[in-house]
Amino acid sequence: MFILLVEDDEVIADAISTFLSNKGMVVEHATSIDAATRLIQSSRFDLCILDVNLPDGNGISWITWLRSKNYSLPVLILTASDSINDKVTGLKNGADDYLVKPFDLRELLARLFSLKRRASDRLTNVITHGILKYDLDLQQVFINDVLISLSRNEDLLLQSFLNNPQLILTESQLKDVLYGTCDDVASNALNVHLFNLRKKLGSKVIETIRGFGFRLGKIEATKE
Amino acid sequence: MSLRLRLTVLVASVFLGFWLIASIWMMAGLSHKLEVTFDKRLRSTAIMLNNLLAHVPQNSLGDAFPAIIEANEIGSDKGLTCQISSLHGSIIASNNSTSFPSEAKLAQGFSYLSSGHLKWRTFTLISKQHKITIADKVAERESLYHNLLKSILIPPALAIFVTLALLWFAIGRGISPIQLLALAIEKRGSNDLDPIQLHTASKELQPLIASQNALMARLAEGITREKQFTSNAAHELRTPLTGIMSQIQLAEMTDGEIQQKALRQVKRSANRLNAILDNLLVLARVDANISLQVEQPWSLKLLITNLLQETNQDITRIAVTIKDEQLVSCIPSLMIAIVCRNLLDNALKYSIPNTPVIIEAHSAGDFLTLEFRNNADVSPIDLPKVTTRFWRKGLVDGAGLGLSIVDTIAEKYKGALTVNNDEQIFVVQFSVPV
Repeated sequence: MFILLVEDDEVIADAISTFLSNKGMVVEHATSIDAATRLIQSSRFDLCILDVNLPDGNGISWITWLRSKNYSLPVLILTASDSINDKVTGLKNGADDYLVKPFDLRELLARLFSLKRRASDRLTNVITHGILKYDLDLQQVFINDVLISLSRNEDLLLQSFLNNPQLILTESQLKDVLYGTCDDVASNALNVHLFNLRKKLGSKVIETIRGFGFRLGKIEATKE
Repeated sequence: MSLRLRLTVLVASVFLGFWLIASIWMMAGLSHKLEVTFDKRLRSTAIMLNNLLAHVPQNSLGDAFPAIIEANEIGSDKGLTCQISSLHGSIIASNNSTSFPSEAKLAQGFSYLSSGHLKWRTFTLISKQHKITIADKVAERESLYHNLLKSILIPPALAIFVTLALLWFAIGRGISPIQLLALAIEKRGSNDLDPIQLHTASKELQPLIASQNALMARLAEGITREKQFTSNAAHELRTPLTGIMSQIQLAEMTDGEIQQKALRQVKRSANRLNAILDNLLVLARVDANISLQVEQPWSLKLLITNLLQETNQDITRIAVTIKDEQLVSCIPSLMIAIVCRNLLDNALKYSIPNTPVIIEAHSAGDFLTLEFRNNADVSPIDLPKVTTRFWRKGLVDGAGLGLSIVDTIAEKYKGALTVNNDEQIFVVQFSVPV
């Protein structure tokens, strides 16, 4: 999952980023609303973790702005206030969930999965696509109940396609998923990972839409 | 006892007291006047009778007896008793020979006479030929007096009861604004700090309501400020605490360089937490108005020099000028040390890197003044906010309490804190009267 983390406290942001990266996610960190706005306009994120008190404004107001611009990404707010009013205000203004500081990193992860599951209309943390099953908790892929071993980057790419089964993902978006918003990425690195993924899961698991990007293919047809 | 009852009892007591005194006075006067009037009647009757008898020849007095006796025989013992007797004491005529004592030897003039259970008031007139006694029953006199009193006192007594009832009603109406106010206060919830609104409040109650409302407003403002402070303090404390807890959790899950980095981050957050707690404690002490005594005069120059030596920050950027120094005794050195530490910390933290920080201080004259100047771009919009508690600008470690503490100290010691920004030079001046 490609996560936008908006948090001005470096220590907290570092802990969340490192933890989520270890869990196979790519985290892009912004320290202000201004930086977050620039990132959201240039990349497609799966989820957003947002601190309420930021140096250049209030996170809740930013969510209102996001919704007014039709950004539908799920937002989990982090707040140091445990007052009901603050929580209600956040949820009313478009936040999807909240966590009160201090929080447990495992709870944060569970809530992120829950948000993504709800956003994808799934009932469990297992994504099924034909004969392929992806367990988000274990980060393991099965085809016909046989475990398929994937590298971290292949795993990230597969998660992106499975989370957006109908969408055509551009090369730029897929690079963001793998490397965040870094610019210095080798141009053929993405193709290598896609090639490996097709090799392990079937040649038609990823369809190339010429001139646009890539889309999840039908797994039954690609089974070898 | 209710205010209404208290007022009614008070006014009624005074009223009844006056009325009682007036009544006693009136009764005493009436009794005396009646006595004089009755006595005059006795005397006039005796004189009138004597004049009549003077025109009757002496030898024909006997002819008149039957008529008089006849009159006596009518049998009425009401009214005046008249007795004519010779100078030797024999009764010539009497209209009440049954109850009036005929043998009584009365001297000329007024006197009292008792006969059995009856008491008489008599007037005796002695002429050359006979003695005339006119008598009145004292009981009759008293009965008349009492009847007269009744007819005089009953209407005012009834009027008093009506007056008391009217007084009860009038006082009730008069104090109704107070009752409404009491009701309005009684109806308020324990957390209700809205102003009291009484449209019928009297002029005298307006200052009380205004003062009550002002108190409520101050209380509400204080509670809001307190809540805001608590909320901000909770936020400021929770942020480093979250950093510590999440980094510890991360350290438990990882090893090697990531673990070491997590532990370094824990230390960083712990230091920040410690600094916030220190600041909160200082603020609490200053807010609580704990007055510290100046044990002995101290040197401003020495204090600043020691502070610069103790700091672990880059002091090569700092230029200190101390003018007109004299020993300070108007404020404890601890307070100025807190002021200097906070202002220096802010100046170093928020100034453009590698630009100078200039400190000017003087303790002579009327004021002790500390001025800190550094290169920083503080917008005019932000200037009034810099002393607001927990206000921070940008991504700098800190709780936003430093200038707030300095401002509170200035206020406690009747001094002032001013902040200015002129062409990217941020100037903070702290001064207290010497």
